[in-house]
Amino acid sequence: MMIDDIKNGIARLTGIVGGLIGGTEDQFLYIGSRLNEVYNEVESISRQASSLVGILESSAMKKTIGQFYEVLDRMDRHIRSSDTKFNNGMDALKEVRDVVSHVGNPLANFRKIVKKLKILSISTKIESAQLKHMEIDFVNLAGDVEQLSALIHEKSTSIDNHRRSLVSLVQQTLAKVIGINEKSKWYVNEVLGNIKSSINLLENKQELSFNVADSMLARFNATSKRVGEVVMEMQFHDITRQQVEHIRDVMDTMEKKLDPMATGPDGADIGEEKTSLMAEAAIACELQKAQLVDARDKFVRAIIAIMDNLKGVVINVFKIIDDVQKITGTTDIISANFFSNIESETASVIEKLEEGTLASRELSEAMGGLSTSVSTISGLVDDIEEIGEEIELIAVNARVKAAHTGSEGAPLGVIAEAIQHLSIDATSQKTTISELLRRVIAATEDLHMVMAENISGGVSDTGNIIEELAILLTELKAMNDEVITLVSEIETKSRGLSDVIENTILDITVHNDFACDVDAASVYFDDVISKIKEMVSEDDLKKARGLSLKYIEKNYTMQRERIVHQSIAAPNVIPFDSHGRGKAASAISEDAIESDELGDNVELF
Amino acid sequence: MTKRIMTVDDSVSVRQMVSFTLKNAGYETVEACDGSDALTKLNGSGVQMIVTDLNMPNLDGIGLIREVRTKPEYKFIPIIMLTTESQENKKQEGKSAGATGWIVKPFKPEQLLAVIKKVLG
Repeated sequence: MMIDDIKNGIARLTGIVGGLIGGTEDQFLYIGSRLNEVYNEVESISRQASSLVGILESSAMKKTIGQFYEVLDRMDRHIRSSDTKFNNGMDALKEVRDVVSHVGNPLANFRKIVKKLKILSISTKIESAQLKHMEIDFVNLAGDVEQLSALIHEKSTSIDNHRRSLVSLVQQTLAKVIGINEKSKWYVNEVLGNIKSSINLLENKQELSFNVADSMLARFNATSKRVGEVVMEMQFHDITRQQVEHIRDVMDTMEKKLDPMATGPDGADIGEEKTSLMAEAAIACELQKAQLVDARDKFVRAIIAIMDNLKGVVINVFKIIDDVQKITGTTDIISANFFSNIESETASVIEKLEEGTLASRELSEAMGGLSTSVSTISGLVDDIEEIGEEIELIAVNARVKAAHTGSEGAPLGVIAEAIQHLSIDATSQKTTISELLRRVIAATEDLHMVMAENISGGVSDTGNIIEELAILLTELKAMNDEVITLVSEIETKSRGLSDVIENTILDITVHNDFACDVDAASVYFDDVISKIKEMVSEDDLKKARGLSLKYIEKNYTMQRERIVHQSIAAPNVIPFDSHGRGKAASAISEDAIESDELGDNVELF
Repeated sequence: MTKRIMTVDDSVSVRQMVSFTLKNAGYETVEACDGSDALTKLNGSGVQMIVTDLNMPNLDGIGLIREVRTKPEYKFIPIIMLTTESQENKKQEGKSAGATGWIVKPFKPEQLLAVIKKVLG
């Protein structure tokens, strides 16, 4: 074995170590530039998520909810007012129905009058037949009475027919009013139900957004922390580079030390000085191998931590998407159903309110028909009044004729008196009917007025509600559009960010390459060390350990290097924690760093 | 007005991380690859603070501090050492040269920012 071989081996190791770190910085710079992109994108997503929360928490949203409540109150008033008006209408209609029904009684009395008149006409004819003179006058009287009975029959039948048709119309109108009232209540209840559910949804989302906002803030803080961890781990390239440079420097020094010795063959006895130097070289190699393995472990650990933290950023970003979806519902609900449901339900409610208004108009027209029927009946009642006057005249005429006839005309006097009674009865029945019809006219007019007010008020209320709902809907849609845009952008950005990070992670191979190179170098270290150990004794190595350590130690700048050094120099001392990054053992007292709120590694002078 | 900080390090990746941290906190940055480069870029730069490595080619961190302190306009500029070096004698050397503070790598972004806030206000 030649010292030359050892020297050449160390020279080769110097070269290998020197080349270890050179090509690794490019990947760190690549990670650094990606980290910058990631951070900017996370910031952008954070701003958009805050805007989203802001919209849902905004005064505009609160105002919209408040307006919904106002509409709710108005709808409530609308229900009460409609109910009162419809009840009034119902009462008026029922009164019309009842009064018109009562008209039937005096009309039945007219039928009795007609019957009596017919009998009187016959009696007059019989009595006149017994009187030879003045027969013609009595025949005429009997004819007048008969004609009168026919006229009364005709008029009273007509009144009865109109009365029946009026009762039928009232019954139909009553049924319609009841239907409309029920419909109106149903419409309004549906409106209230829809608005209430909308308000509840909005309120729930608003409340949820407060809770989720905190969670999102925590996620952004966690993401920032992850980014901070990456920044810290990224510095391990520089730390590793320095450590590797120090290893290279020690190997270079060793190579130079060996250079003057590397002449001539080495036998079993290579001379004391050479033996000592060779032992020193073995210890230096052992130490530098340990430094190199430590550098590798640190480097690999840093890269794995970088990758883990980048993955953590992706996980946080997707949690932020989850948060966003918690506020807005699932993505499908926002884009397809949530607000469009409100829109379609509101449109359907508006349609139903408009249908209700149309139905009320129809009812008003029906009320017009009711008034016409009542006017016709009134005209017929006037006709009956004229008939009453005619009965009176006939009765007077009969009495005069009976008086002219003398004692023979006494029976005719009785007939005349009966006609007189019928005249009084007819007038009384006419008065009863007239009074009843006046009540019908008054009730109909009231009902017509109530219905007109109801329709006009209903149209006005409905119009305002429709207008207000349309405004609220427009506001909601505008907010919804903004929410959809933000959610879509957040999702797109988050997925893009995830792709960037995943691709970046896939591109990171530097730790594996570095570990392979260090492992190969370690094998070479072992080879050189074992070759040297073949040439020197354990005693030589013990002596060399004491000699070589001090000048090597001076070469270090990092506490970590000293810790590794001491682990070889004083292997019984465990100088660092299980993570390999902790504070040094108390043996390194001169490195104690002043600790304050800024951290153990910071000192302000 | 945005404050401007110079970061001096022969490691591009360290300069990248320091600049990343400072820019995201709202500071402007000027980068220099060693003490000599820093001195060249310092004049008229409007830099209000320097964060420098210790071991660098051409002119190291201690040399840079000494040079900067000779310039009247930068006599009191805060200079923070950001280095892997943690030995007390080196810190004393830095302190004697005029360093304002000492941060041992690796730093956490919030540590660097806390130091800057404390020093620059």
